[in-house]
This record gives sequence, C-alpha cells and structure tokens, in this order.
Amino acid sequence: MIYNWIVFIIAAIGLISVGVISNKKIKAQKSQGGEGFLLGGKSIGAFVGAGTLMATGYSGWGFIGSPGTAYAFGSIEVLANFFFAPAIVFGTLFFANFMRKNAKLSGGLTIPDYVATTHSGTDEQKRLVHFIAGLATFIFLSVYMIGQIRAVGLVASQWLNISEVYASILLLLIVTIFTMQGGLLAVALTDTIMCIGMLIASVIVFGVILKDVSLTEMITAMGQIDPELINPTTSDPYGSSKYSVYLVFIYALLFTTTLPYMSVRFLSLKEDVKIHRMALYMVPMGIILSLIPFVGMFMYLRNPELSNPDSAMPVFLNTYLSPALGGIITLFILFAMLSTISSILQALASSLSYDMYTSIFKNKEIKSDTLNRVVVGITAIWGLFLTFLAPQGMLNQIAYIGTGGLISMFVGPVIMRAFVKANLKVCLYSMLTGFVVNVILVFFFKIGWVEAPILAGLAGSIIYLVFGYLGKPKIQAV
Amino acid sequence: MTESWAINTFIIGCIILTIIPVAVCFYKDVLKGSEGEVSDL
Repeated sequence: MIYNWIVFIIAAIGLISVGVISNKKIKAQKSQGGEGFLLGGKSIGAFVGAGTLMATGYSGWGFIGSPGTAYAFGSIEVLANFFFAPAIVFGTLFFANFMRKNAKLSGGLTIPDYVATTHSGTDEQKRLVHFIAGLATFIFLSVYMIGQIRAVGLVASQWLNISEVYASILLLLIVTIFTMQGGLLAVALTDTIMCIGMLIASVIVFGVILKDVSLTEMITAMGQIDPELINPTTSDPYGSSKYSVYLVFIYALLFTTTLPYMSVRFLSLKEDVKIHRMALYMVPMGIILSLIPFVGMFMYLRNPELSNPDSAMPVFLNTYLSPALGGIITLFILFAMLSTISSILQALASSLSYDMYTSIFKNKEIKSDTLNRVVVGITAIWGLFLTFLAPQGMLNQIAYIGTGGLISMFVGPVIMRAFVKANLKVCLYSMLTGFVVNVILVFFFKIGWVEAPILAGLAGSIIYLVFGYLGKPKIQAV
Repeated sequence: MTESWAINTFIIGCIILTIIPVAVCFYKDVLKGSEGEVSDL
C-alpha cells in the first residue's frame, strides 16, 4: 500500500508540474495574441492532438467496463470497443480541418461558440443559440461527470485503501489544480502522458495473455464452452440484430465530432499541423487500446465463475501480474479516467465562464485567466456536490441522456453544416428537435442507448438539412 | 483468420484503419506534395 501511495504522489507531482509548465507557455503566447486558457493558445501539435483525443475518447471506465462486457458477452465487445478507434481517426481525418477552418473564420473558441458563430442571424439569435448550447453543455456534461468521478473514486479507493469519498476528492483536487493552472493546454499535455500510460498498460496486459494462451487457442476454447461467445447471432448488449454492433461506429463518430469536450480539440490545433499525420499517430494508439477487452475473454476462459463481470480486470491484475506491476497498471487505468474527467471539467468550466457569461452579458468576454481558473474550481466543487447528492439508481440512464442528448443536439449544426449553410433559427430548431426526440426515445420507447442519439441526431439533421435548404434563397437575398 | 466473425471483423478493421490514413499520407505528402490538408468535406 505504501508503494501505491509513493507511485501516486510522484504521478500527482508530475501532472501538476505539467500544469505549471503549460501556464508559463500560455503566458508566453498571450503576448502574441493567442487564446490561451480556452484553446491552449492554439499550440497543440499532431502528437499531442492524437494523444489527447485518444485518451479522452477511450474513457478510463473502458479499462474496467469493456473487459467486463467481454467477459459477459464475448467477442462482440472486442469489435464494439474497437469501433471507437476508426471513429476517432476518421472523425479527425475528415472533420478536424473543416471545423478548425470555420472556427478560424468565425472566431469560435468553444463548441457552443462555434455553433453560434458559424451560422448567420441577428445578434440576439446568436446569443440565444450560444446560451442554449452552453447551457446544454453544462447540464449534460455535469451529469456525465458524476459517473466519471464515482468510477475514479471506486478504483482509487481500493488502490489507496481509503474511502471512495476521500479518493474522489483527492483525485478531483489534482485534476482541478492542473486544469486551473494551464487550461486546455495542460489538459491536452497530461492527456498525452496518460495516453502513453494507457498504451503501456494495454501492451503489458495483452502480452501477459499471449504468454498464457494464443489468440486462436483462446477463441477455440471459448467456442467449445459457448459458441455464442465467439460467433454471436445478436449484438447483445448493443442490439438484437447481428449487425447492430456497427451502430457503435456511427455513435462513436458522432461522439468524436460533436461532443464539446472532444471536438474542441480540433479548434485548438496549431495552424500548420497536418491532420493526416495526426491521424497516422492515432492508428497504432487506437489498435493498441482496442486490445483491452481481450482481458474479459481471457478471464472467462480461466475463471468463468466471477459473480461480477466488471471484476474481470481487477481479478486479472491481482492474479496474473506482480503487485508492483499491477499497481502501475492501476495507476494507468486511473490516468485514463482522469484524462476524461479533466477534459469534461475544462469543457464545463468554459461553458460557464465563456459561453453562458458572454451570451448573457452581451459578448463581454472574461479577460482575466484568474476568473477562468476560479470557474474551474467552482465547477469541480459543483461536480463533487452532484456526485454525492445525485440519486444512484438513475445515474446510468441520466448519463446516457447526457452524452446522447448533446450528440443529438449538435449533429445538425456541427456535421450537417458541412453540406448546407443554414441560419441560426434553423440551427436552434435542429438542436431542439434532436434533444426532444432523444428524450422521447429514451423515456417512452426503451430504445438502446446507442440507437437513441443516432435516431434523434438523424431527426435533428433532417430538420437542419430541409429547412436549411429551403431557407437558403432568403438568406442569400438578405 | 480465426473461427470468430467478430474477431475477424476486428482484424480486418485494424487493417483498414491502418491503410486509409497511410494512403492519405502517401497521397498528400508523396504524390501531391501539398502543404494543404486532406479534406474540407
């Protein structure tokens, strides 16, 4: 246990140091007019861009939940988890430059700001759309963060042998300190460090499995126990059809391109960064991170009696790795969770300190970084407050509505904007349609969490495309 | 290839995932030699 604490303290000092360095870099760039806190001074290069997108996209809970799902449902989870890799790579390859260029032309600093400034309309309409998009980001991501904080508290409490409450507070404190210090740049740099840790963890874990059993032997043995585990006839838990699992790719693509805490990275890239090279860095990262669910299949083969599938990874670490190595891997799993929390925290704080503030107070931007930092602190306290007060039972459903709601609201204005240049009214209708349809589908039709945002996003997109196209001549006449 | 269609799709997916960005890089950096970017949609 003392060993875990020493590793943890060293890692925490390292992460906070990155925050301090980022702060100095931002200050140096501010003299050149760069937008420091919100977009990291637009100084994020190809490798850091790839690292931050991959670390944030492959949420830390994937290191626990994904092996758990593979343990319960077999090979379908390997495929479903993998779809996040091509979705993030192709989303970046085909949308990053489009969004970056539009943001540069319009001056958008956050995704709600991007949505408002890339559509034509009156100043009042712009502020209304900016406010609603910022408010939606704040509400939905607040809910989403609750699950992430609870997850990190659960893992860290076992690792450090303290209560979940203390573990959550301690880790959130570290994330808050480095986010307050360096804003998005600190988040991106620490994400990249964490991504390297996650990659090392994946390689070690997969290496340990292959040392014990080859891939083909594992698949054959599992097929003999239950053929459904290796050749599933349905996509359970992703859908009843055999091919429903492919919807995960569409979901992950929308997740990458529309969720504010993911796509804001596109706006923060250096002007001269080559997106196709960034995508090239992402490929091996994505493939290596996709190996994690094999832990679940391996554990099913070796220990099919686990009462809780989600314990597949912890049991694997305790059984097949030395305590020292298991401790390091747990740290990397915590890293993966922290990278997602830091990104959400940064997006939440900017929705409050920038999006809602500027839309209410008529574009009076908060110039002082001190205020931005204070808002990060307030947002962290808000996250903790919700974490311990929100009801337990409804969390998963609310979290799905959170990310799904945001995705379905932003698909039209962010993605369909590439095909039709609609105005702010249409943008607003599209957002509201996506939101309402998503809520109806989730609450009244018991539809899957992957299908709901896709269908709701489709509804919002149709509204955007049809009314955007019909409204085009009028806009041109004006 | 393995006995599992899901794992086979995963392996094919990894190959496609590798080929497309490599092809785009080859096109942009070698064939086109452009300073520009891959796509604006």
